[in-house]
Formats: sequence, C-alpha cells, structure tokens
Amino acid sequence: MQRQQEGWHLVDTESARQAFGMSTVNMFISGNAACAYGAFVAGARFFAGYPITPSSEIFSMMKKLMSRFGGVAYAPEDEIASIGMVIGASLCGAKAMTATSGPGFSLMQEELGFAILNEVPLVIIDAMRVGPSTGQPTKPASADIAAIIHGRHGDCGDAVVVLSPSSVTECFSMTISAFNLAEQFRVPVIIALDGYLSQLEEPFTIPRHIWVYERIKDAAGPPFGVDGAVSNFLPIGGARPIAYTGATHDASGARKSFDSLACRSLISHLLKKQMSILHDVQNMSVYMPVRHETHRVHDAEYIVVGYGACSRAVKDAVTKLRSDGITAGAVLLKTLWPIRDAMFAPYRHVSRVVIAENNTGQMFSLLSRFFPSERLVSFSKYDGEPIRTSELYEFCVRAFCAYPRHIVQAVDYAAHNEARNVPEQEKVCAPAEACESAVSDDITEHTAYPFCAGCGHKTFSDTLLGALKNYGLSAENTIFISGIGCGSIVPATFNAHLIKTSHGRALNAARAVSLIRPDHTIIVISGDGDLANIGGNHLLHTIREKKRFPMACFCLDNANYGMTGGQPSSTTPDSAYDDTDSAQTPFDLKRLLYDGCGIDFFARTSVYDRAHLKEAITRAVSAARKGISAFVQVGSPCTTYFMKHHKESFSRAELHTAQGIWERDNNES
Amino acid sequence: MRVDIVIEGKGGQGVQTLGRIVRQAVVNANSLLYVAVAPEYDTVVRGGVSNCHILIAGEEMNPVLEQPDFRLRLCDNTIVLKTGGVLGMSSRVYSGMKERQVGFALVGLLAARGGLLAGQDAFEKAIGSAFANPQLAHVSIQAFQAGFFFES
Repeated sequence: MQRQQEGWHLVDTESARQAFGMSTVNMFISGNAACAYGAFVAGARFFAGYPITPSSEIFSMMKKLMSRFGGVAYAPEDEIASIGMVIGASLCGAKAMTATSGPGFSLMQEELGFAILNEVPLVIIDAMRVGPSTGQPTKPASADIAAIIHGRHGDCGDAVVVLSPSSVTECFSMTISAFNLAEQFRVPVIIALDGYLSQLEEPFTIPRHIWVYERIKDAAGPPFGVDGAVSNFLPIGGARPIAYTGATHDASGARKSFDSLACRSLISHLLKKQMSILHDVQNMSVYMPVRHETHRVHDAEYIVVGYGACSRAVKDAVTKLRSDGITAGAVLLKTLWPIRDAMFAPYRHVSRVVIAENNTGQMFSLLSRFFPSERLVSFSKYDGEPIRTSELYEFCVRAFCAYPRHIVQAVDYAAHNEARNVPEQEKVCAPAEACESAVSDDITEHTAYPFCAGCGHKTFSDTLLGALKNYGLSAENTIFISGIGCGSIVPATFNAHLIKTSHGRALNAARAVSLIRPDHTIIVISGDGDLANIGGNHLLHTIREKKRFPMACFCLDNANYGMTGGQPSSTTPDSAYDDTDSAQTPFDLKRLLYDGCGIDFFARTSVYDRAHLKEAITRAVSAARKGISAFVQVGSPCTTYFMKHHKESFSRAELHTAQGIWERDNNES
Repeated sequence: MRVDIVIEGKGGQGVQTLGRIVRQAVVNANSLLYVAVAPEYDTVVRGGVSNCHILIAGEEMNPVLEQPDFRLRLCDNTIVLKTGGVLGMSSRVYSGMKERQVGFALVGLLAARGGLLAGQDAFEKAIGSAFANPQLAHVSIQAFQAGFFFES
C-alpha cells in the first residue's frame, strides 16, 4: 500500500540492523533496549535524561547509539532540566526524547504543560514502578497511568497521547509510532512502559520496513493551528522568527496573556485536535499499530480489558477460559489516551466486563463511564509483582460465574506468597527487633551495611559514628537528612532521626529542620550526584543563606552515580571519560562553595586517610554546633562502577595532595 | 508446555549472567522454543536480592512467573522442586570452587536430570561464548561438568 500523504516515508531497517549488530534469529533484547532502538530508527537524534531505575538502560543505550551513529545524548542535573532540553531541541526541529520513571516524571509535569500549550512534538518514556514517592524502585507496576494522562495543571493538561506496549517487539514499534504521532500532530506522546516489560528480555526481530513521519517545517501559513487543524511548524532558528512562550497565544504566535477569545480558541483547538488524533489512531493501524486489539470477542458474553504487560495475562486467561467453555473475549488497549466511548460500544451488551491492571484501578475509573456500572469488575494488583495468568484466570472464573457485584480488590496475597514458596520472614525488609531498638539513644548502626565490598562509605560511616560518640552527640540531639543514592543510605543504617528526601532535595528539608529545631545538630549525608547535580541549585542557595541554616553537610563523593550504573556526575574528573568529546569540566567544590559562595568551613578529605577524615568530621560537626555551616567533600571510591567504567580510578596520591581544611575566622566579614 | 526456573541469589554472585547463559543453552538446543528472562533485584547493588526468572515455553505466552518448577538457590546450593523435593550435591563437589562458579554446578546438576531442556554440548557452547576470558570459560565449564556428572 502506498501512502500519498506528505511527510510519510518507508524506511528499510536492514542497514540499521546490521549497524546494531543484530542477528535475524535468536535475538534477545529488553523492553528498554527495544525502546532505544525504536527511537533511533524513528529518527530521534536528541536525548536528554537523568538515570533512574528501571529506565536507566534507555539512557545508557541512547548514549551509546548517539555517540556511535551521531546525535546528542546529554545528561543534565535533573529531570526538570531533561524535559527542558528536550523541548528546546524539538523546538529547533530535532526529534527528541527523554526517558524516566515515576518520581522523575512528576518533576517533568510542569514543563510538559509548556510542551502541550506550544504543541511541541516530543516523546517521553515512563518506565513505571510501584508505590507513591520512591515506593519500591525495582518493583514493577502500571502505577503512573492517571498521572501520565491527567497530571498537568490547567485546562487541556490531558492534551497528550499515551501509548502502552505489551511486548518487547511492541516497545520497538510503539516508540516509532510515538514519534510518528508526535511529529504528525505536534503533540507530546508518553509511553507508559510497565517496569516489568522494561527489564524483560524476549525474542526480538526487527521489522524489515517501517513507516516514519517527518515534521513539515517552514511551510507557509500561521505557526499555530485553529479548530484542531495541525499547523505548519516553525523551528527556532528557522527561516521565520517565532516565539514560544508559556502564555497563551493566537494562531500567528502572538503572545496573548489578557485576551479571553485567544484563551477560548486555543483550548478548544487543543481539544479538537485530540479528536482527530483519536480518529487516526483508530483508522491508521497499518502505519501506526496503536489501535486496540481484540481477541475472540465475536460471540463473547464476558470481556476482559487489559493493557501493557498485563495484556499478555489477559490473552492467556481468555484462552484458558474458552477451553473451560466460558465464552470470554479480550480487548487489549494500545492507546490509553485519548479514548472515547465508540471504541467500547460493541461490548456494552455483554454480561460482565473485567478491567485488569497492575495498579489500584486507574484505567477502571476512566473506562467506568463507558459501561453500565453493575457489569463492571476491577482486577487490581499493586504489590510490586506483575499479573500472573493463573490469578487473573481464577479471578475471572469467580467474576463471571459467581460474584454478583463490584469487586475492587480480590488478590489473595497469602496464597500468592505460599505459591512462590517464600517464607514470610524472607519478605520482610527490616527485622522487627531493629524497629524496636529505634528508641535507644546511641547512634549505632542497626542494620547491616548494604555497600559493595571495598566501598569507601563504610569507612566514612564508622569514622563518623566514632566522632559523634566522642562529641557526645546522640539520637536525642542529632537529626540526619539525606537524599537518594548510595551515600544517602549511610544514615539510613543509623538508629537516629532521619529524613531521607526525594532525590536532590535533602537540603530543602535540612533548611526547614534547622529553622524549627535550632537546638539540634543537623547532619546532611549525601552523594555528589544528589548534592551537586540534581540538588545543585538547592546547594548554592542553601550556602548563600549559610548563616540562617547552620548544618554539617557531608558529600560522599564517589565521582559517579553508583546506584544506577556508574553514569558520570558533576564531580567525575574529565580524564575519566572514555570519549574526550563528551568530557565535562568537573566542579571544584572548594572553589565553588568556599571561594565562590563564601561558606565558612570547607574540608576536602578522603577515606584513604582516616586521621584526616576524622579531623575533618570533628571540626565540621563542631562548627555546626557553633552555628556555622560546614561542607565536607569526602572522596570515597566506587569499586563496582567507577573503577569498571572509567579510564582513571581514584588516585590516592591526588586525593592526598588535594585534601585540606579551610575555615574562615568568624570575625572576618 | 512451560517450565519456570528461578535462580535465586545475591547481587554479585553472577545470577543474571547465569540466567542468560541458561537461555543461550536452551536456544542452542532448540531454537524454536520461546524463552523469556526477567531479572528481579533489590536497590542494594552488592549483596541485595538478585533473582532471575527464566521461562521456557513451546510458544509465546505471558512470561510472568507462575509457581516455579525449579528454584536454584545459591544461598545453600540446592535446587527446590515444585513438589517440595530438594536436589543437592555433596559439598565436596563445590568446596574448591569460587562463589561465582557454584551456580554453574547447580545448572549442570539440573541439566543432567533433563530439567533445562538442553544438554551438555548446548551448555558448554553457551558458557564458552559468554566469557571473553578463556580461563573463566574453562573453569565455568569445569564447574558445570562437576554438577552434570555428579552421581547421587
């Protein structure tokens, strides 16, 4: 079939396959890798991201692909900056993408609103994990669906497209479809990738031909559409000058921040555009396989609706139900948003509909308006495990044959654990006695150290505990604050007050605590990535107001992101980069904080010199007790990643010559 | 037909590598089978929970782990069967081995009893191609053979 419409072209993937070194048989890749390959084949040449489990592999793969075949893969300090850069690149005309997980996606919401308003084509992959906040970072779920669809403030925050792949092969094809939809309709497209699928490795064959859409740029006509029509795109730096702002605009691009007509027509334009996207999604399955799929629905009395990785369980459960003589059918959603009732009209007459998902029922709430409520049943599972065919099958048997009404939660966890044959105590994270002993006053370690062999954090931790004890500090008068990362785990092993914040936000909590509890010693322990990258802005501003917020801040500097795979951080020495093109100038924290921001106490030390480390810790805590802010950079080797990935390992000699303690005389202005 | 295998261990024991070697051996033996590998791990890099689930099936299906047929436990070097039975070896077999090699002996033990749908050749080929270092491949194959030829 030949597609005539301007912008589309057929791409032969053979040369890409050979360049990737992929065989045509027995090729196993993960969902993450499939997304990265898909993005590259679709023409993505700009990637900005911050490593976060379970999406980190996409970040690493994109970096590898871009450095090998051309393109930009950049790692800014946080997700706010990542999405900002992706928007910037896309506004310049590039196909751009970022990948993240729940907490990172939450950070992107505000900038995503900008992308919606300005109709910026971009792709975000959200590899979803279970629970609110940090939750359980390595455990999978489909828990971000509601946030992905509705998370932005203001009207039309849902003017996005949300796709949900169900297999590794679909991760590849749907990433291409995501770019096609984004470019064709000038709309942000979000791939709701199940955490389970992102890590799953399955057989994969790259399709020989794919359809790719290229954004039409610099054509005649106004730069923004009206009434749902997709307009001509004017790139930044293109032939005609154009301004993109967060305020509402008219079709000519003129900023209109006090004009009711402009506001109404812009919002109604975005709403109507959603309708035309929906039409295309339902009718263009050859070019973009994102229409919902059905399985044995022609004579079905009962329907099971599923999406994402859960589709697999739905399909298998329906096959099993059929073999039992239960006339069930499956509706597998591929596009989660936009949706409308016409899609479900053929199934409104069935006697019961089960909506199966790996969360508390987020799609259930959306779909419930399309079905008579007395026929709807929700299968929800939110324990960080993917949905097994057997449990869905058993649930459906009961739902179709026994239960008369709504059942919201019916997964039998006791039976689940028994089936896995795992004793209960193995599943408990912290032993009960550890929780009980938390009332004791001594800051002694209460859990086993979770660090790698040779990790310097253990040395720091021991030295710190010794110093605190000598100083008479106990759990009663000390408050620990940390963030996310290996270094931030150190105080989590203590028996003391602790706030372990979101990534990079330790100093925000520390500032508030120091105001409310001036009689306590505030000790911040975190890593280079947490303090100087994602929390870099907070670091500068905290130190700017150092006199208001006295605290001892320890930066366990292992010169990389030790928890997500050793990606470079802001303190990675430039000589440690494999590729000199990507080398960056590392922060010299002493010059930045002591010389630049004027902190009164700065120490640079390392775990190689315990005597110096002890002196630095003691003097820093002593300064904090006197109301002086202190910052200590502690060189601590990452034996698992830094030594493996980087040319140059921590040099003892270098750390020794660089170490020192700088303290300003308090009388000095 | 489906066989669910879980390799259970700690981060740093080579659990994920072992899972991929088992996959490669199964594919070497019969390339028409559907094999899926799903890692499961804790946030702790070294020493945290690290499991690897391998599904071997006749056709593509939902790869989510059902009740495992075999659990290869690296913590006590045993294989727990679905029936509750336990397979093990005399500690003499693995007493001289490095921690990372013991898993190969367990895999050998199970392969010899037909549990992994792949034989000695398929495994030795898979192990040989998994390591760039020939010495490492050699000791791993030796460990595999120690389990494979273990007489209970």
